Amino acid sequence: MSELPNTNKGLVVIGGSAGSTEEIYYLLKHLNGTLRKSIVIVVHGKPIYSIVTDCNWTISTNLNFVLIGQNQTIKPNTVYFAPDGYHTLVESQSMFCLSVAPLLHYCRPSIDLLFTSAAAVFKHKCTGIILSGANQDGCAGMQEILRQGGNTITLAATEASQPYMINVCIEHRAVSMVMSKAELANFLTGV
Amino acid sequence: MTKSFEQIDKVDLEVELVMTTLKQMFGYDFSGYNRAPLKSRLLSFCKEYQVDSVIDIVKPLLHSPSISKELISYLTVTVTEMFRDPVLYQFLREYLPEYYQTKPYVKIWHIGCSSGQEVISLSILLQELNLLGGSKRYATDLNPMALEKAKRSSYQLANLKLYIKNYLASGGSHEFSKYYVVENDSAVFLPQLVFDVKFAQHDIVAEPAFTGADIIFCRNVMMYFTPQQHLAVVNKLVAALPKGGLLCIGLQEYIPDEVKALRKLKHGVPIYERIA
Repeated sequence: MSELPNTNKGLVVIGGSAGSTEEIYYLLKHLNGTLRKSIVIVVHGKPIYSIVTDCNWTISTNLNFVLIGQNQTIKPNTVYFAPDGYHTLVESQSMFCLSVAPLLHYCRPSIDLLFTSAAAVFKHKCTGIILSGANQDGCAGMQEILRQGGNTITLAATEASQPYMINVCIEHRAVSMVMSKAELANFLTGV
Repeated sequence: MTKSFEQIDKVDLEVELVMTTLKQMFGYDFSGYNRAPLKSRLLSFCKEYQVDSVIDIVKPLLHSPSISKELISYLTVTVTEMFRDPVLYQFLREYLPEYYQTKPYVKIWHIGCSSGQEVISLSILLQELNLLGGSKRYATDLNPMALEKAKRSSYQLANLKLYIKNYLASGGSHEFSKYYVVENDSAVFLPQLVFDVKFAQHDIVAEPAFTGADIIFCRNVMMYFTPQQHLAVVNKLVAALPKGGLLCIGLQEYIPDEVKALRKLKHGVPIYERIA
């Protein structure tokens, strides 16, 4: 397969489940400037792209928001959203792909599948972030990102509306940094 | 050029060895498929069947070929639902009555029918529109085990809630329970809904397309293909459709810009008409 010229400096994958919508909104609202990396957001059971783009939340940013479709090209300075009802995977440094394989941890999209495939492709240039959730999805993906040399971050459990998913990651030693919401927003702006 | 030891992703190499075995021994060619979904399925196959690593699938595959059927089924399984993407069925409900008036009968081909939920959905729609008798239908899949499931048309009761929700969202207004009987924890759909559907194993990548289908359903199949393979299959489907024929794809799928012979009928609905 022909690869597009790779201008991508890396990929940040963000996973959330129950209770993470407000956190995602907070992060998006505080993003500004131009990102050299791409960001992907995957949330269980919610059409997060429509929630973010349809609602009256005012997000003033010069970033592009894109709902991932079949063989979606990965570009920098773009925030991608995994579509509800599909697994999103990273096929290469320049392309996402979708699948309707069975649910994982009762979920599709699966955070683990996105994170694991992102780690395999982007290696140390992959950063995983876990937000609120009441599911153990994401933990295996975070472990894989660490194993491939990337960074893994969770929101501080004390700030999470639902800390279960974060605590599972911490218990399994899958986390290299813990950040407050404000620190996370600051971190993302710098990527 | 030989890559250095560190540059080689061993799992990727193991995946290729399984694919080579499947192609050379059993004729299944996955060379035009995206790698990430195949790799993730192989890794979860290893976990489920307690196989240490992907390479360990090769030896049993070479020596007890019966495993190939199971592996193909595992690799290509797609979990679908009835009336998935209700907007598509809602559109067909309005569009088909007039479309059928122009033809003595309408040939419909479901490519990658998987376990058959989409076939049943269309049967229900056609029956409600009184068009089932004017239809000739074919349903194909690469996966022989999925085809067996499709022929049985028996689905877990637990899924019915979602199916009914989709059915209602697609504009259905009948009592959904009249289409199935409950047996243990399954809903078995009435045989008259699929009795005339011809099921067959078919590989849309490797084999020629059936010609003369007026409406082709090929939904959430092409998303597995590399961009090049995708373009080749779309061109193959266009060639198989008559002018005015319809191609229904998945909501997150697209038609490559190079393909000029297809036109989307309505914004937001993944149905294309062959116009040239």
